Amino acid sequence: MKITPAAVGTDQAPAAKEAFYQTKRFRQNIPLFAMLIPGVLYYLIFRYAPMGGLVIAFKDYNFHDGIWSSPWVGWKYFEILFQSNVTLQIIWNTLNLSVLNLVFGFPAPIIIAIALNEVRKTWLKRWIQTVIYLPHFLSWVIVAGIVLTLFSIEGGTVNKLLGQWGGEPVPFLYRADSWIAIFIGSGMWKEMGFSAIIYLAALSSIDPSLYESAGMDGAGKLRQIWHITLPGIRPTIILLLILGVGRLMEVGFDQVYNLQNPTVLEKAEVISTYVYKVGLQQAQFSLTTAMGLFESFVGLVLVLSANALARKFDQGLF
Amino acid sequence: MFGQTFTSRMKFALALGLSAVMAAGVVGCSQAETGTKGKSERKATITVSNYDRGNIPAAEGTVEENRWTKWINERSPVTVKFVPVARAEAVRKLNVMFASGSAPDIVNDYDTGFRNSLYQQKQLLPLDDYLQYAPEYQKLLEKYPQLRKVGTKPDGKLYEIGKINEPHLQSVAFIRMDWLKKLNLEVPRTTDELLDVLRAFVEQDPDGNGKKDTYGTNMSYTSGGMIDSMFGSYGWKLSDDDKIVRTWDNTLESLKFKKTLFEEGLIDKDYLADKNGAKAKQDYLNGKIGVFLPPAITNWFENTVTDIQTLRKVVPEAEIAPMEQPKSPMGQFVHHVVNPVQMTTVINAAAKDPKAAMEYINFIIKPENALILKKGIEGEHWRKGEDGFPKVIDPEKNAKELDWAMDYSMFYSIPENPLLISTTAFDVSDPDQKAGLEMLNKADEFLLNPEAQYPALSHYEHMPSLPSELVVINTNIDKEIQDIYAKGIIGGAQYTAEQAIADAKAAWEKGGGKQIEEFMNTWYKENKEIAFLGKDILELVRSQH
Repeated sequence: MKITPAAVGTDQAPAAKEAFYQTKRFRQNIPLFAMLIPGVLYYLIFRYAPMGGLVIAFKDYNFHDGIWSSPWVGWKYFEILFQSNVTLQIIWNTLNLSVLNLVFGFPAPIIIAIALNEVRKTWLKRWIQTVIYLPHFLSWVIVAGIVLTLFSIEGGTVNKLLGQWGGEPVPFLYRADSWIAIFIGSGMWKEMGFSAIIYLAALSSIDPSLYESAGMDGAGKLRQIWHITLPGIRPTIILLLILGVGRLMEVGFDQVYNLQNPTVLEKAEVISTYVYKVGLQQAQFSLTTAMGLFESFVGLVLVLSANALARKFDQGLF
Repeated sequence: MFGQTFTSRMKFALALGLSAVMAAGVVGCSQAETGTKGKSERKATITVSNYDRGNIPAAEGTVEENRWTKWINERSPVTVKFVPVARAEAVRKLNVMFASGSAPDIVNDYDTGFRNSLYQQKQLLPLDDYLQYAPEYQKLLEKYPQLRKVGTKPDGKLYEIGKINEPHLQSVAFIRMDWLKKLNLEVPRTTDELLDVLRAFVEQDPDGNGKKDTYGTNMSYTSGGMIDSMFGSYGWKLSDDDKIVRTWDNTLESLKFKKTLFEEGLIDKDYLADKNGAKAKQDYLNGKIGVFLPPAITNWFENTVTDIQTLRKVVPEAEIAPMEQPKSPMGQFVHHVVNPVQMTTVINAAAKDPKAAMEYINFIIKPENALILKKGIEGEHWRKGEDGFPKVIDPEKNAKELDWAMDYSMFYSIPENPLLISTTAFDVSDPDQKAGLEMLNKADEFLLNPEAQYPALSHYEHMPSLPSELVVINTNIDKEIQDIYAKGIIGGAQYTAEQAIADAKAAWEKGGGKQIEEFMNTWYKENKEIAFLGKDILELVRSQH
């Protein structure tokens, strides 16, 4: 029993290898392969080829010698990176903001999706869904403007209300803790509605008969959510969590660049904004490439370990 | 099977061959075309960077295409394509263009450090062999040897095109005299008096609308530098024993002053959100700011005539006067001055036609062409006044059609053309313009105060450029220190200015600032005789008045 499928496999494999492009299966699928080509080219040209440029992290890059002929300097820029207070602080800030983003931002769309799923009136559900995913389409420049009108010291809506209740104005945007809260909050406000869509899709694939039988067995709403809904969307949650962990070292440039101001830079300067300000403004291409490479490397390690962890629970992505 | 493969291979080979022939044909054609182009009288084409300050009215077009680019291209011996570079992002944008090999042939930028980094990376073309194509600039070099001295790089070759500037202040404070009169106050002479005046401007409702909606002054964007210069807080200064030292004490006083401004609400508390100073300027023009510190004055006529006319549309009784820097606990300083010998322009080493580039520069700096690019067309934008000098016909029309076009001739030496000098632009038969000229003259007099020192070691464009390994250190510490200072201003009672300076000093020590101090002092020892320092600037500028 066990031998037969293996034997069949070995019989077929060399035949297939001989001339796969001549088989009927290949010829039938030529249109599909053709459609694959642009995608492959996209990744080769825009994702893989630029990685060659990473060598400048180990070189003293200058315009004249170009990427390939600039002199090698080994680990010099990584040494600078890990000896300087500023760069260490920036790496730490990046990690700090993205962990907070993950902790608060990740569960939000799940909760929203489950809550929306329980709404019985279709028109209400549709309406709420539209309203909460609308902010996704606003640019960060606009959101930063909204944040400023809400939280500035003079003329900010929140401080005006505080003033009416007799409170002193609070410099929300200029204190590290409140700035971080605003940063995380604005990110959640903007993206949670849109991210909920994928969970809603997963929820619709759960067999309604499960709820019916659970209801007959006397399970309340919360029980049903805990034992049917959550396990039903578990693969989706884990998939998105692994992807989310992979992005842990990235803080979206647009968001942080538009929201930050000099007083909170100590906590708000992240790798992407530093690369922009120092790498491009001051032409420190090699130093900032080293930083970007480090960022990607940590990201890779995190994805692999998150996946390894998930595989232990039979939910691995690859 | 074999036959099939064979024929398909044949087809393939044929197709390849065909396409190769076609490609060759195309190449052949294009070669023939360029061949004929060269022979005919077609102009060479060059690319030139130009600041995009976002101030061109939509009806006038863009940096690339407007009435002045058309004017230039109709008359210039070369065809010019302008490459817009957003002013605030100029260095970033140009760096990216150089890195990707798409930088323009002529690069116009005021940033000395940036141009030095281009030189160090061998991106600049030595100009000595091409000067013959720009006889106008050759003449200028003979007249002003300083231009050659400053434009020459360590390898002894000339790389930079520059200009002689008029000897005026880089910026000056404008104070609302009508507010002072109304509240029975005097023009402040010291920084303490200034604080008292600012407090009165905020608390005593000088605009008389019954609301507490006025600001004492502004310090968003680079206006904070005006406060630093009251205290001589610049980063570096010469000590009594003739060494270059940090200005910690000066910075402490300046920081205390700024902290007071912030804590007592004498400035807009959201000044950090005003990233380009536009909000402050708007507040000033709406009559809400008592002592306006302009980030920089590039056009005196605009600041002393046009702006005041705008302000008077809102507040008809507004009176403005320039204010001398108040004396601070650290001494009496002047304002920064415009760099008297300023480099602006370099040519890309990869430029295909350096001769055409130099011919273009020569075309722009011909006095008759510069006159049109700076003043507009006679009879349309200006007419000859009784004194024989050009006078603006309609400032509003010029604001719409002309004032944004100054960067096309940014390497032109204004003092070279008597028709262009700032002081002659004012039409003294017009009371507003007469007052404007008086303001300019009064501001110039501040420079002559023999007691006053220059507020910096030198003009920043004449500071030595750090070697690349120190640049990284400097960038990182400077960033850390600036963040600390910002916190020192806003941090309230828990984070005092003294604490901020102590932290900044510690960050300086820890980050390797000593290496930069050593470099500065070695440089000073070796270049003491030729360095162009604050006192030299003052001497030169005073001699021009």
